[in-house]
Amino acid sequence: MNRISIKQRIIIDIGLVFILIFFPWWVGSIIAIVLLFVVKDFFEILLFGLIVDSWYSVPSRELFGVGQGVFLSAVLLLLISVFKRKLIFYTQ
Amino acid sequence: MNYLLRTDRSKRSNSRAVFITVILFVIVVAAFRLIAPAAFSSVFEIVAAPFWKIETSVIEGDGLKTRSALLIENTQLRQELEAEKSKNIGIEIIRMENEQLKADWGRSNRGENILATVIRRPPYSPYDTLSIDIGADHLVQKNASVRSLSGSPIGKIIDVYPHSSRVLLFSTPGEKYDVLIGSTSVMATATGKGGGTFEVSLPRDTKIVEGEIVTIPSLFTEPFGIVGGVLSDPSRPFATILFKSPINIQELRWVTVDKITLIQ
Repeated sequence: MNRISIKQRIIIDIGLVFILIFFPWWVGSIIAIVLLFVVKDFFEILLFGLIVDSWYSVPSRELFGVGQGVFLSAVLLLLISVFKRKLIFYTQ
Repeated sequence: MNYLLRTDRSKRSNSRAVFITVILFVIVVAAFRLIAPAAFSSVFEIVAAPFWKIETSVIEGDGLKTRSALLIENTQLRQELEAEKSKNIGIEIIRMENEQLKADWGRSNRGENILATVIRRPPYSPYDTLSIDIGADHLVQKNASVRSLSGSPIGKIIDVYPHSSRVLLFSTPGEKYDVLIGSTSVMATATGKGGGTFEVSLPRDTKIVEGEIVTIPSLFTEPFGIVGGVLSDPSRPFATILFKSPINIQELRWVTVDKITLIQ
């Protein structure tokens, strides 16, 4: 688990950017959440949150000075990394 | 007997690194947005807009049709247009009379507007926003009013990029606007509920029925919405009136952008 090379990781990232461009926001969101479990320290989700905010967000929907996309991706990244730490499945 | 340890020191330090990275990222983004609010939007919009324009022209446009097919379709559409024009001649006469009357009283028509193609709309966008294919290149201004082709006001420009713009729909949840409801023009404040729907609270005794037209207070009477339901509870003094935009936001392909700015 989590043995993904840098090359594979870059391909995944580019693929996800294209999914965000061509598919509804929730498709990219579901795939990004799955990748949080599959890829080790999937920091890219923060960038994807920022991209979604930059394309679609409205000023009245900001949380703590950032868009909802960045905020939610930050919370998800933290929660899932803590959750993964508790699972024996991710011991290796 | 050996057990797998649930935590170890390297994992704990890794979690700390994740936490610090996330917090730093959020702080940097927040600071950047404070200094240059549109910086990220401008960069990412420039990257995505060409892809959206290509997708729109391929899926919804005529990019993949032959020249002869386009000519036939064009002729058919012209014929349909002529037929529709003759049907609506009565409405056209009244509209011209209305404009003439306004001009006689020193109130000329609304002014020019620009046609735009919608390149992104809900459900692609998580918020009630649209992206359109014209921007600073067509002198689009922030806060300019955006209408459907039938003239219904649907939103306003919130961001202008070099070749595209972002539109905030009036139905964005939490956004409030003054409206006039029904033939008696009852004044109320409508709150956006998302997806082209709105909600208004009025005293229970106000006579509003389903199907009545909602307009915005303006010299030009334009349909803003149609009442879809009235929720009234005898134990409560107020009734909730639900109305929706006359056009389906999710099927919107073209809009017009006013060249004059919206009066707040």
